[in-house]
Amino acid sequence: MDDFPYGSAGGDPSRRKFFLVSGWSSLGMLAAGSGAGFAKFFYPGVLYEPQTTFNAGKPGDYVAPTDPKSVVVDERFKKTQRVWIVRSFEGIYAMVAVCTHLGCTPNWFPGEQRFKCPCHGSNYNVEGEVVAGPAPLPLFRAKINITPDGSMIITTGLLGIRRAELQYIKHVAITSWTDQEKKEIKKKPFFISLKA
Amino acid sequence: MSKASPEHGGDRKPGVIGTVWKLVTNNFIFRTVFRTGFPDTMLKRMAVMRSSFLMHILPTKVGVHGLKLYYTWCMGGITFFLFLLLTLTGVLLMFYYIPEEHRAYNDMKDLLYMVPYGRILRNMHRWGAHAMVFTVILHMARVFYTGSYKTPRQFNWVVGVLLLTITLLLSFTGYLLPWDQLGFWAVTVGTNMAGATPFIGFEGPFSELLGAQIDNDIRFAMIGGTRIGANALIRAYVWHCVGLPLIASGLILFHFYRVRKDGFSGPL
Amino acid sequence: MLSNKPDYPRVPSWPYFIWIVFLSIILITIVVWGVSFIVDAPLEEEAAWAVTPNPAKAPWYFIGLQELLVYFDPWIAGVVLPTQILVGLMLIPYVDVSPHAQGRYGWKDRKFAVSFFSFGLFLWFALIAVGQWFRGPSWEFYWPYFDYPLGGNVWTYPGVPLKMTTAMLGNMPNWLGAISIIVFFIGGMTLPLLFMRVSDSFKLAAIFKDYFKKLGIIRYCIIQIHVLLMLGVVGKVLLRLTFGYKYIFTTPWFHI
Repeated sequence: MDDFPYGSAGGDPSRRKFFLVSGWSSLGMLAAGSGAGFAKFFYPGVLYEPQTTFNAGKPGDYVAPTDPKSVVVDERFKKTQRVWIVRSFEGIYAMVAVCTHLGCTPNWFPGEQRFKCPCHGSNYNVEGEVVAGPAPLPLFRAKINITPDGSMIITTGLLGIRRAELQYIKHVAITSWTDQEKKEIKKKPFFISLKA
Repeated sequence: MSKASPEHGGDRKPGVIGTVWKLVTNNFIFRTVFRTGFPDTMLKRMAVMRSSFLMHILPTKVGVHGLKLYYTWCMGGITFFLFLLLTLTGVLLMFYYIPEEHRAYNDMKDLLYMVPYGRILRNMHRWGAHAMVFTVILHMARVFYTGSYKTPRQFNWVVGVLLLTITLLLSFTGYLLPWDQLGFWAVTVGTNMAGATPFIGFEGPFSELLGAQIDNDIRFAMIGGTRIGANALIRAYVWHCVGLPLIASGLILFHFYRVRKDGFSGPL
Repeated sequence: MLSNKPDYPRVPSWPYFIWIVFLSIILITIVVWGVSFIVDAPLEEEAAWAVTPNPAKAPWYFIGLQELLVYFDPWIAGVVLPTQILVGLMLIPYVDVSPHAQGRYGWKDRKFAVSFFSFGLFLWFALIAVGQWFRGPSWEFYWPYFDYPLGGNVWTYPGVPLKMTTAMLGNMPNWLGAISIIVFFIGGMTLPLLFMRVSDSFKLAAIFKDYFKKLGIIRYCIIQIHVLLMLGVVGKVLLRLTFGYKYIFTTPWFHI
C-alpha cells in the first residue's frame, strides 16, 4: 500500500484499504450477479408446448390380443402424443414412445414383440424392459385416470411423466423393473385391468 | 509519389488497356487509396505490407521454411477463408430464412426451388462447413506434428482448441436450422446428452442432489423448453448467426495477433 | 529459435506469401463451388416429433461420439469424454514442455508424443468410419455395398431384411469389475515406474527413466491418466464386442 501513487500523503492506510476491498468486492458481486442473471435469462418463464393430457377414449375401443403371451400395440396416439396404448391379455397401459437413452422415438415390431430404437439400437420388450442396447431405464409409463363416463385421461408429455408421475417408482438406472416396481406398474393408475 | 510502374508503360507505346490502366491508377485520387504504388521495389514491398490495412495482418518478411507447403499445409489460412466464405453465404441465406417452427422447412424448399442461386448458396454453406471442420482438424494435427504449440505459443494452442470447440458448436447449431428430420434428431440426441450431465442434467447421475428436473436443468436452458420446438429453433438461430460467430471472431483475432507476434514456428 | 535470428533466410511477403494466399483462396473457392454444383446438401422430410428416421445419423464429425454412445452411458460418452478430450488437448503444451523438435516434423525426438496423438486421431476417425459406413438401421452392424448402398442418408434395402439384435448383454460381476478397474488404473500408473527401476538391464527402461526425470511426477500423472483413459475406452469397446458386457461396474447412481 505504501507505494500507492495517488494521494498517499493525506490518506489513512486502513481507510484506503477499506475502500479498495469494498470497491472490488462490490464490483465482484456485481459481476457474479450479472452472471447469474445472464444464466437465469436462458430459462424461459412460460412455455407454449402442446398439452400433456389427453383423452384416449374408452378401454373397450382397443383390440385385445387373442394369444395370452402377445400384446396389441395401438399407435393412433403415437404421432400426436407420442404414446402407445398397449392392450395385453390382462389389461391396458400407456407406454411413452420416448427412448430412455437419448429421446428418439422407438418403433414397434409386432412380429418380434419388441420396441426398437433406431438411434442407438436399444430394444425393449412389451413391458418396456431393456433387452438390448444402451438404454439405461425401462420405457416410461403414462398415468391413466378413468373419468366417471369410463374414458381414459392419459397424462403424457415428458414433463408430466418424469417430474411427477413416475419419479417415485423410477429405480435409478436399472434396465428392467424390480419386483417392487412390477407390482407398482400392474396397479392403477399405470395399469387398467380388463378381461381378455 | 511514384510514376506509373515500368510494367505498365516504359518506353513502349501503351495499348488500350494500358492507357485505361494508366488513367485509373495514375491520378491523385487513386493514390490516396493505394498510397504505396505497385510494390516493385523492396522498399515498396515492405511499405505495402506495413501500411495496407488488409496486408498488415501478414508480416513484411517471412522465413522461407514457413512458406513451404509441406510445412503449413496452408490449413490455418484455408480455415479462416472458409470462415469468411461461410459468413458470406450465411448472411445471404439469412435473407430468405425465417427461424419459425412452421416456416423454416418451407423456406428450405423455397431456397432449393424458388430463390435465385439459393440451392448453390445452401450447398456451399453446408459443404463449406463440413470442409471447415476437416481443415480445423488438419490444422491442429499439423501444429502438433511440427511441435508448434511449444514455448512461446502454448496459450495460442489453447485458443486454437477453443476455436475447434466453437467450430463444432457452430456446426451443431446450424444443423437444426433446416428443421428437417436429419437435424432435428441429431440435435435431439445431442441436447439429451447435455441432459445427462452429472449434477446439472435431469437424467444425469446425482441430478437429485441439486433437484435437477426436466424444466430447470442445463438442457432446459439450452433448448428453452422440455422438447425441441420453436424456442430451440430460435436459440440455435441466434447462437449460430450472432453469438458464436462473434465469439469466434474475437478468438480468431487473438489467435492471429499471437501468430503475427510470434511468427512461424521454426527449428531451434 | 533459428527463425528469430537475423541471418535466417527470409523473403518479402509480397509477392511470395501473398501469392500463396491468393492461390489458396481461388483453389478453395473453386473446390467448394464445384462440389456444391455437383452434390446437393442433404435435406430430409420435415421434422416430425413422433417419427425417428432409421438410422438417425449425426453429421460425420459427431459420429465418433454417436458410436461411443453404444458402449457408454450418455453422461460418459456425451459429456465426460468430449470434455476430457478438449481438456486433454489444451493440456498438451503444458505437459510437453521440452522446447526441442519445434518447427519441423520431429518423429525421432518425440516418438511417444507423436504416437499417442496419432493413436487418438486414428481412434477418432476409426469410430467415424465405423459409424458412417458400417452401421445401418437400428444402429446394427451392416456391410457397405453388400447390405446397402454407400452414402446418402436415405436408406434403401430392397430384399434385405432388417437385422435383429441377438446379442444378450450382461454386466460384469461387480467384484470383477472393481478389481479390473483398480488393477488397470493403479497398475497403469505404477507399472511404468516399476519398470524404470530395472533401467540397468533394459535399454528401453533407461530411456523411460530419462524421460520421466524430465517430466516430473505431476506431468507424468496427467499424461498417464490420459493414456489410460484412452486405452480404457478401447478396452471397454473390446469387452463389449467380445464378452457382451454392458457395464463393467454398476452402482445405484451410475454405471461404467
